[in-house]
Amino acid sequence: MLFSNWFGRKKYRSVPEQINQPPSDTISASLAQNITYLHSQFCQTPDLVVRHFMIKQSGDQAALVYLSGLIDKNAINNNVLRPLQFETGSGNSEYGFTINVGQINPLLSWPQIESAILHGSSILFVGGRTEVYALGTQGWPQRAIEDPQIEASLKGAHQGFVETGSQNIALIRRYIQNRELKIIELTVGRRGNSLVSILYLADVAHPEVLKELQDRIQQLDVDVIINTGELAELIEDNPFSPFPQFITTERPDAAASQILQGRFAVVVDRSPSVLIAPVAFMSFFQNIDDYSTRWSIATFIRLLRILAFFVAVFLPAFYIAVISFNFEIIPVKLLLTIGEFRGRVPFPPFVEAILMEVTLEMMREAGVRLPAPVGQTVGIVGGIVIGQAIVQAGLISNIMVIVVAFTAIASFILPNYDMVAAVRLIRFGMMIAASMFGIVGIIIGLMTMIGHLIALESLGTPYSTPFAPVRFADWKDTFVRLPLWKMGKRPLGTRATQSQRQGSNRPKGDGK
Amino acid sequence: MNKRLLHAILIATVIVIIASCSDRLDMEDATHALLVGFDLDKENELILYSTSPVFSKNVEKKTRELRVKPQTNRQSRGKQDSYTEGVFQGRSIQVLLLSKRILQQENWFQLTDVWFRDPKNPLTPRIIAFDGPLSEIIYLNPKDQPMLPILLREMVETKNARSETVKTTLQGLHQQIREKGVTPIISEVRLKDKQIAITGTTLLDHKGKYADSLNMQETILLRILQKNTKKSVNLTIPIPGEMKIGPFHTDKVSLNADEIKVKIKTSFLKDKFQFHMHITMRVGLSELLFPFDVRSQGKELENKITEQVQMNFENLIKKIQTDKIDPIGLGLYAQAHEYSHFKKVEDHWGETLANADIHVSVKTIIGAMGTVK
Repeated sequence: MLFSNWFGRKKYRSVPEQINQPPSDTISASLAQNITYLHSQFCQTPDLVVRHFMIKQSGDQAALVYLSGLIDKNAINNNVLRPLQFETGSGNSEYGFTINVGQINPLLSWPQIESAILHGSSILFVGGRTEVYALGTQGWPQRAIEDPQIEASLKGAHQGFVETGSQNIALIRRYIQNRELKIIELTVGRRGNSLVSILYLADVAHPEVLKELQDRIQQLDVDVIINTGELAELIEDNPFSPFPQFITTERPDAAASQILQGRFAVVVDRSPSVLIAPVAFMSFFQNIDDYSTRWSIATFIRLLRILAFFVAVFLPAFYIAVISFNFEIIPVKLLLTIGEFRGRVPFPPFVEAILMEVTLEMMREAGVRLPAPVGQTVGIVGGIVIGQAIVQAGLISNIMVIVVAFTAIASFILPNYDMVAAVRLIRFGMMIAASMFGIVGIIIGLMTMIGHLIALESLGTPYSTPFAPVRFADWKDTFVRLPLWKMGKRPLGTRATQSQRQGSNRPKGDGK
Repeated sequence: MNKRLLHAILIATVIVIIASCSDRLDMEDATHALLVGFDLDKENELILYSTSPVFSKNVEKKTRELRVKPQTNRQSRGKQDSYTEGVFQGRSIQVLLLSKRILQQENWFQLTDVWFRDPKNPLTPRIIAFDGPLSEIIYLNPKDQPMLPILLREMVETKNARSETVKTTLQGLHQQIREKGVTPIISEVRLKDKQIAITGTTLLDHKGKYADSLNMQETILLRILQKNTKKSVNLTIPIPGEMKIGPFHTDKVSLNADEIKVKIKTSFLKDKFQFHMHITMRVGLSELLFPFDVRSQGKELENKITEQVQMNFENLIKKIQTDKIDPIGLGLYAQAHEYSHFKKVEDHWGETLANADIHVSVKTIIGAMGTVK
């Protein structure tokens, strides 16, 4: 079958190991032999630095090996080379030399050495010893912690995740100072060795879900995980669904709050976003700001978002259905107005809508990649083209422009980018259905979507959780956001083993 | 994803595409009849008028009027279709205009059968009677007014809100004709000096035949008796004994009545239905054209108003009884309270009501006299 090649499971063919194995994994006592072997392994690696010197305390010949870009030069110069070359002393420390580095790992085999070098450690070879020392002098290029870009928040913290996994874990730890916050470290990828850490509250998160998540990550056989999105695609339950089954967030406070609800956060080293699992459909409508604005306003915004979801998915489809099939439901005055504009348009409503929606998507995509000053130009050109010229030229009706604009605004309201992307895609399906069957088509589309949502799972837990299966207790944080003191329990949808979150303890000031 | 699922998706897509699009009709490809009018010519042949909007940029006139002579209502669509640019559709009919000649026929309502039988047709066109041949109003096209269907529809909506006429939709009319204890009542439009005006209501008998017309004030009174007034209603009545000075009707007082309470007691005595209606209304004086010290002699004015209003009600009831119809719906009271007696006479309820004793007693209370003395 033609398609089996496209969707076949054979994504990764096994590749024969490319490195010529050393006679044995063990390290020779001869320093020169070791360095020669090292050079043979790392040929054509100009950034590999090998520094020969003599340890003053013991008089041994030694060599320090590191990749120049991945280490902290200050640490190497001041804390490693200086004490080793110039400090005299009894040398009665554990390893027989004095060194001002926090982390020293003795290594015994070549693969370990190789991996340590590649991870940014510097390796100290000492003549006559069959063990080497990996010094924690990592210092790769790093970005400062900045405001999250796609998940901007008004009232929340302004720290976003960065590309260093350990820092990201530290950012989450700052919110949950509890020893029950456990971290499972897994290494994924044959070539890239991506460090993947699962963070969870041991006494809250459900062990079965953890096992499922761990299994899925462990079974991955890939070159490297560059970004969290890749990991999400590789481990999600239904990769053919348009709906995202995990949240990837770049906000530490969001991640921490999810962990506190009993979910898992997966930190992928080198990626500035963190994966949250398992999640439910409604999670994509929640935003960290909801909990810091007043509950009545947060509720209003929630309802607005849900309305926006339906508008973004169905409005163009509804337009097509009404104009092409069921125009008797249009109020007569509107009918006259629409008729006047539509009378000039040479295309059927479906073509008109597709034309406009594709233009919109193109503009949006153009705006994402362009630098800000050029991006503005796109906005202006787009605005003029869409808003004026196309209507004046009689290609598109005014009403369609309004529909497209309204749809676009509605899709911008949704707080999660992945869900917006899903909505954009589903919209086209709905438009096709509407153009073929009218309102019946929209209903078919809606039913299919609901059916799919109910069948969908995220890490084996139901995706549409508070609604199917019905869990009324969780409805407090769906369409509405009840006051925080009414939400004393963790959501059932996360299968948290410890449901009590806090008591109904709203202090009333003077103790009345 | 396995092969079988892909096959299923492919087959499903093909089936869906083949099955689709059968009854698709884009809005701009349709000609929407917004108004349909029934009339009879001198040889008593059915004439059907329609008004539809024209969605074309280069056309000066915004509407197109058609006149066909079909044998049936449904057949008219085909005939009208042959004249129009788009597919002729009756899905957005707003107004059904009936000429007096049509209303004088007993079985004209049968013409509307297609609208009930074919669910794509709306059941909400407002039914309006026109006193005269329809060609007068259909082709009028006054330049300073919106197109006729919109004009009539809006007129009925707003006047209905002030109880000066009724909003009877096609479905409402169907119900009124089928219901034995009530006779239909529809809006009435006339041409006055080439101006379109709502003049009140037309009363029909049990079979939908023309019985009588009511002016606006009578319509208000009728709607009070129907307990169907919306907001407050305005009445202007003469007060006997006041002088008419000059060309002005200085004997008039205008009232603003609200909190109208109507109690209808039904009984059957001496082979006759008896209806006692007690109407209590709070009125505010909105206009007083003769000098009167309301503050000290309010009671006296109140009595005079009561007397006049009661007389108006009695006249209305007399009119209804002479026409042998029941637009108030007293039959429904009879059915509810005296079912066995009603059952015997339900097929000629109008005649029965004509013989019934109907007593009206009105009580008005002056609740407000305005901001001047």
